[in-house]
Amino acid sequence: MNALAQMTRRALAATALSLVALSSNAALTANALTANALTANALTANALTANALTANALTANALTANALTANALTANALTANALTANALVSTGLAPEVAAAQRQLPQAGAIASPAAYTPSASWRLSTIRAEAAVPASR
Amino acid sequence: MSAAPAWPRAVVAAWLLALGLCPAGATPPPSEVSRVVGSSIEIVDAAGHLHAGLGLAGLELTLGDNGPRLRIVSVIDAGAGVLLHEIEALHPAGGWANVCEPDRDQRRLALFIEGYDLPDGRQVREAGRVSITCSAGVQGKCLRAGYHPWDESRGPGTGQALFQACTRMFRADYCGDGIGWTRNGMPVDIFDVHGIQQAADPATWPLEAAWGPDGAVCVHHTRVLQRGTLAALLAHCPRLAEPPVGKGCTEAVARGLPGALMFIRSADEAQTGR
Repeated sequence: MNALAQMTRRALAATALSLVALSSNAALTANALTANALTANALTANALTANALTANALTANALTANALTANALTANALTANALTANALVSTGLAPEVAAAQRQLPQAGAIASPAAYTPSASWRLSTIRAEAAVPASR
Repeated sequence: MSAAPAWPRAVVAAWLLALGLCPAGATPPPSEVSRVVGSSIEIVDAAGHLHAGLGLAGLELTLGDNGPRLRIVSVIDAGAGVLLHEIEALHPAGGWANVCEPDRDQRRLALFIEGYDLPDGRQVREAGRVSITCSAGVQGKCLRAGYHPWDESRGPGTGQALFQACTRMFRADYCGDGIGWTRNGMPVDIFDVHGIQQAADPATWPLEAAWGPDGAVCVHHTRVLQRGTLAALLAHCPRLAEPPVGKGCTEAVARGLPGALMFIRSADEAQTGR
């Protein structure tokens, strides 16, 4: 009986230790979870910051090649100077290439006369093409 | 070889290559531009290979017998059939320089448009002919805004009509005679009957004018008072004096006018006292 009592006491003591260990683990786990939650929040904040930066960057580059599709150019993007700068420049071609030489209107200047300057045009049959550099196919 | 002119150059060249008549390493005969597609071109080389889209980069073009020599440095696909090309011209004094003036984003990009245009601003679509324009020009702006002359998804000729109306509108070419009544940098809000561009809501400015391919179909006010008053415009272009005109040319009225495809709002300088 003494031996049985000793075994029982040892078992009970071990169980208590286990409970303490479990409590400790639970606390640690809770702390770890809290830390992770903080990390997650921090990440979220960073992600938001990154997104905000991206949004700003997109705004700044609103007319990059990717934004040039018809759908990307919303009405808002077209307002307030978006497409009116150089509105009187018919072709935008550099003078040495344009068929007719003319003085391009200066930005903000009164355009008078503001006659239309046709684009330079060519018949396809008169255009010759050749590779400038070896093709990398 | 006497029969060569009767055959397409590319076919003859391909035969010569196949027969081994061109020495290895020799410069092949130049290729030819076959057609205009969207805002770009397609080229068939001497071996019959098609160069198009982004594959145009690295090609050199000689325009006409004594025309400028250009090279396509790079090509950007802007979607919806719009390709933007970085093109340089060989300067007579030597060296290559971009052919385009910078646009508002400081980019210098060129586009090919099928056909040609006239001093009165009319644009004529003609297969077998190509004009070159730039992103800084009014045609480039209209292409970027989604008005594509090749787009016939809304019916035959609708894309060309919208494109033509757009170029008239941006230049404030009310009379459709090629004379622009605006100045650079004027803020505007544009929209159209198809919703390609939509009006700002709420409206910042009143309607300035409604537009068709031949110019304005009604005018509320002129965009730049200093360039010309409404009275001066009507004296220059009597057809626009037919009602509705002035205060009678409202958005509600203009939307019901035959031929009205596009609309533009701008500040009424006569009302704001500028």
